[in-house]
Amino acid sequence: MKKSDYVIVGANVAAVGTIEGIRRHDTRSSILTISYETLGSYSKAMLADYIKGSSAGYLEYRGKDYFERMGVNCLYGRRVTRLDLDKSKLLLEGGEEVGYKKLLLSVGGTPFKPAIKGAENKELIFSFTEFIDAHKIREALPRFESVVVIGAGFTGTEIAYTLNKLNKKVSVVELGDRVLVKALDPKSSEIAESLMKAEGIEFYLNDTVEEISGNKEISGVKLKSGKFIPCQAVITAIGVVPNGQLMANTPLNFNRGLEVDEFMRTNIPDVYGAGDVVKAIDITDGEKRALPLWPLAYQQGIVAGSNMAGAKYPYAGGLPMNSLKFLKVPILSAGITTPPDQSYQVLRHDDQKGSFYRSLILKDGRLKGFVTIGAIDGAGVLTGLIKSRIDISDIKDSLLYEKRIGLIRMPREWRNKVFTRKDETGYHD
Amino acid sequence: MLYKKPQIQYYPYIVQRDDYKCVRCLGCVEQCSYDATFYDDELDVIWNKHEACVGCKRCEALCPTDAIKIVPNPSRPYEHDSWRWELVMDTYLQANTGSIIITGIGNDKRYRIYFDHLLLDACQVTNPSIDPLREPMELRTFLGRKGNKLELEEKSDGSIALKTRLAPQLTLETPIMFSAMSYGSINLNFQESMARAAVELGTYWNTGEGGLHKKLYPYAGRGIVQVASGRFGVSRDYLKVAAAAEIKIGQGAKPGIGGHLPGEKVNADIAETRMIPRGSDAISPAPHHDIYSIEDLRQLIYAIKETTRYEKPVFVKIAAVHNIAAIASGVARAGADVIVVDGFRGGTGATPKSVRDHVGIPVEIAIAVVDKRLRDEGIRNEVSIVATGGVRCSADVIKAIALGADAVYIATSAMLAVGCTLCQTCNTGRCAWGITTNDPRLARRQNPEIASEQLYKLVKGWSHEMKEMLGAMGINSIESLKGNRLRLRTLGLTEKESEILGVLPAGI
Amino acid sequence: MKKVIIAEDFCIACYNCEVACIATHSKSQDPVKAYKRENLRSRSNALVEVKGPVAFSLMCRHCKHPWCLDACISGAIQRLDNGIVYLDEERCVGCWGCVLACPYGASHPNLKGDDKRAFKCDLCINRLDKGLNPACVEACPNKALLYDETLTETVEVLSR
Repeated sequence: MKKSDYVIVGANVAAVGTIEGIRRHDTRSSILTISYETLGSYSKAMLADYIKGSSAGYLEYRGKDYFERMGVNCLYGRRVTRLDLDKSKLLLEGGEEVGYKKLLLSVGGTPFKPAIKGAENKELIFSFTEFIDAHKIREALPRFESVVVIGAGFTGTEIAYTLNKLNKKVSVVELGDRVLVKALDPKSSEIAESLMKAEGIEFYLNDTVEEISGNKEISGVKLKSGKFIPCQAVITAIGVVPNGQLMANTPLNFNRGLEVDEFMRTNIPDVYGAGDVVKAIDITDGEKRALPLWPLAYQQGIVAGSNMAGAKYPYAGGLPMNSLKFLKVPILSAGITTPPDQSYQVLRHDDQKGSFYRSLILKDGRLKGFVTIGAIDGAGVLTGLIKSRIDISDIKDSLLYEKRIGLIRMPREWRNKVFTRKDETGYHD
Repeated sequence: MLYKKPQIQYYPYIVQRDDYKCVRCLGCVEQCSYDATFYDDELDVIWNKHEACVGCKRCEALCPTDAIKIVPNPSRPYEHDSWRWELVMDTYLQANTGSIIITGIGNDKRYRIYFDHLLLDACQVTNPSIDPLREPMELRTFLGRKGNKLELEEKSDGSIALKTRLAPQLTLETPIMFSAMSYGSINLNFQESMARAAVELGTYWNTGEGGLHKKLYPYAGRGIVQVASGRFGVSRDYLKVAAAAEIKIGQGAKPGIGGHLPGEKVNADIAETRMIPRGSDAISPAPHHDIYSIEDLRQLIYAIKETTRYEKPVFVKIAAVHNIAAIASGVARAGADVIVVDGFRGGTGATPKSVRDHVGIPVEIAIAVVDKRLRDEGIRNEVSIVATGGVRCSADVIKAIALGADAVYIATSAMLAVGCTLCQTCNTGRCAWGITTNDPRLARRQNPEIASEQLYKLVKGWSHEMKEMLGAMGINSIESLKGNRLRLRTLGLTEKESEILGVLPAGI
Repeated sequence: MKKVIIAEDFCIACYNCEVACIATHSKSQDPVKAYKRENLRSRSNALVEVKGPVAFSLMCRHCKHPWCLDACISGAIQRLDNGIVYLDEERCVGCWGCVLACPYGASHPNLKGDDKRAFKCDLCINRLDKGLNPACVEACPNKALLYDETLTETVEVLSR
C-alpha cells in the first residue's frame, strides 16, 4: 500500500494552494496528490483559450518542475473510488490503496446537468467545466454550425462568446430574466447583454430548454415558450455543485457542500477540505455557502495546508468576485451586486455610452458590493473596502465617479500600514 | 491675453517649451504655484500664461526631460539708463493699483559693493603661510561680553582658579550663524532644516520675530529667539529654552519700519504661535512702543536678563543707517552683549520696494565705523559684533571679520542653498520652492532631511575655504583676524571711502 | 525585505517617478522615446495620486500575502526567492483577476491595443541585479520614496 504523510485528492488550484500552505511549515513530510485528470495541474478558467486553439501546455498553472521542486508526488489519471476513513486510507480504481496521515479533499464541483427530454442518446451535448469537456468541444468544432448554450452565467457567456468568435451561430437560453444574474445588477446585465448581442449572440431569457430534438444528431431545441432553435450542438453551463460522490456513505458532513470550520477541518479528524467542494464563510453576509471561485480556492488551500502542517491559521472568509474580460468593455464585480432587501443603499453612475458604468452597494455606510464596467483600474481598492468594512460615507461619491480608483481618499492611518516600514501586508495584518 | 490692462502684455518672462521633449508628464503643471502652467486634455498640450510667470524656474528645475527654459522676454523698448525697464513697469503697476509695491529678498539695485573692492593679503617669503590641512586652524568664536580684566586666585589645594565671573558666552564652532527668518515668512520645514544644520555645525539659528513653534523646542538649545516690536510669541518659556535673546530694533532690508507678514500668509498655526488672530496682517510697529530712548532699551535688556537670570547673552539687532556708530555705542552702553549690524543688502519676506532699495548703508562701512568707534571709546570688548546683510560667500565672511565683526549671520545664502532663485515674490506666499510659504502643498517641498544636509554642506564648504584663506594669510586662528584691517587693501575706491573703511588702498 | 517606502509627507507630485519608471522599462531607456515612439505613456507602474496638499506615488507593495497571486488564473504572478512578487507579462492572459484583487489598486490593466494584459511594479528587478536602487526611488527629488528594510520579517519563502 502506498503511504504518504499528506494526501490531496484533486490536483487543481486548491491542491496547489494546499501544497504551498503545507510547505511553508513542513518541508520534509511527503505529499501525494491524486487526480483522475491526466493533464495534472491546469487552469480551468482558461479552458476557453484551449477551445480557441491554444495548446494544452498553455493551460499549465504551475510548471511541470513545480511539483518536483516542492517534493510532491503526483498520481494522475487515477480515480479515487472510496474513502476508508476509519483506516485512514483511500481506495483507487484498480484496487490500489493509499494510506495517509492527513487528507485534503479538493475534489471540486460537478456540473449541474438537468434532465432534459431527448438528451439521452445524443452526441454533441457538452458541459464546460473540465479539460475533457473543452477537448471534446474543440474536436467537435467542425461538426456543428449552430449551438445552443443553456445558462447565461459566467461560464455560459464565456463559451457563447468564444464560439461566436469562432464563427458559430450561438443562442443562449437563460432561466432568469437577465444575463449574469449572480454576478451583476440589472443595469449592468443590460449592458453586458447588449455588448454580446452586438457580436451576434442571441438571447432567450425567462426560458428553458424542454426538449432536444433529433435522433443521434441534434436538429434543434424546443423551448418552454414554444420557440424552436435549430442547432447541432448543445452546451449546458448552468453551474457547478460541490461534488459529494466520495463523501456519500461516510460520516463526513456533506450538505450541498463539504462542511468545514474556520481551519478548513471537516468533522473527521485529520480530514480537511478546500476549493469548490466546500462551503465556506461568505463575508458579505456571514453565511456559509459554496463559492466556486479561483482566488478563494487557492486561499482556502493555503489555509488548509497551513493547518494540516500544524499552524493555527483561520480562514478570513471569501467574497464573490467576477471578471469578464472577453467583452469589448471589461466588467468586474465583487460582493453583493443586487441587494436582497431595502436596507441597502445603491449608488449608480452611467455615462450612457456603455463605456463607463459603476454601481456601489452600501449598507450602514459600508461597501457591500460593486460593479464596474469600462473603468476598472483600481477596482481592487473597492474589493479591499468590502473586506475591511471601512465607513465610506464621506468618500462614496469619489468612488462612484472617479474612473481610476485610488487610495488618496482613504484614511491616513490605513495607508500608513503599508506605506511605512511597518509593512502590514500579511494575510491577517 | 486682452480683456485686461494692456501693460500686462509686457511681462518679464517667457516659458519656452521644447515640445518634442515634453512628454506631458504634467509635473510642471503641478509644480507651478503661480497659475502660469495649464494642461489642455482635449488637445493634449501644456500651455502657459506667460504674464503670470515670476521666473522662479521651479518647472525648469523639475522637468524630467529638460524641456523647459524660462527666458527673459526679449520684447522691450530700447535700453534707457535712467528709465530702466523695472522702473517703467513699476510706474504702470502703481498707476493701475494705486498701492505700495511690496516685494521680497534684498536690495538688488546697482550700488557699490564694498566687499568686491576689498582684497585679502597672503603670505610670501618673509612671513610663511600655514597649510590648513597640516596644522590646526581655529574657527571657534565666542560671542558675548568680554571683561576688562581677569582676576585669578589661588585655591587652598594650590590650584589656580578664575575669580572673575564671566558674562554668558555663545560658543560657535564657525563664525557663521543662520539669520532671523520668522515663522510665517518661512515655514516650519525650513526652520527645522536650519535648526538641525545649526546643531550639526555647532553654531546657532534664529527664530525671527514669528515666535518659536512647539515642534522646534528640541532645537531651542542652539536657537536665538527674537523679541521684535510686535513681541510675537514672546513668553517666559520662549526666553527660557533659548540660548540667547535678540531684541530687534531694526532690519537692514527696511530700516525704520517694522516686520510685515501679509494676512494671506497667516494660517491657524501661525496665528497660534504668534498669538494673533488668523488671517490678520501681522505688521510689527516701526518702533518698539516701549522703547523711545536709550534708557528704555536698557530697561528692556535688563528685563530680559532678569528673566533669564543673567545666564544668556542679549543681542540687539540694529539696521545700518547714517549714524550707526553713535547708535552702536549707545546700545553697547545700554548693556547689550552682542550687537547685530544689518546692512542695506539684507533680505526680507515682505517690504515696500521703495524702502528696500533706497534706505540704509552698506554693512561693510557700518562694521568698519562701529568697530572703530567702539575701540576709540575703549568699550570694544564689552560687545561682540555680528555682521549681516549681503554676506554672499566665504570671502565676504573673512572680509567682514577683518573689518571688525566677530561673526556673521547668513539668510539669503541659506535660502539659495535650498533652492531659492531670487524671484522676489516671497510676500505672495506662493513660493514654488516651498521656502517662504506655509501652504501645506508647497511647504512639503522642503524636506528637512535634504535641506538641513544642504545647509550643513554650504557652511562646511565656506568654513573650509575660510581656513584656506586664513592659512594663506599666515593666521591660524580667526581671532587674530578680527578687526585686523591691515590684512585688507581697497581697490578702486576713493581716498575718502578707504579712509572711512580704515583700509589702505592696494599698493601701499 | 527591502521595499519602496512611501513618505507621503514629502511627495511634491512632480511625476518624475512615473517618467523614470516608464523609461527604465522601455527598450530605448530614454524617456522621450519611450513616451513618443514606444507609446508607453500610460504604462507607469508607479502612479501619483494628488488631492490638495496630499500626494503620494503608489506602486506594488510586494505583499507578504499577495492577493494578486491568489487570483491569477494562469500562474503568471509568482513570488521570487528574493521576495519580489513578479508578474510575467508573457504568461498573463488578461483576466483582470489581479486588478480585482489588489486592495491597493497596484495591478493595472493595459486596455489599449489588441493584446490586453496586466502590468505592475517589479521592484526594478533588472536594476537590483546591478546593485542599483529602483528607478522611482532614484528619480524622486524630495526623498518621498525610499528603498529600505521593512521592520517585520518576510513571510517564509520556501527554499526551493
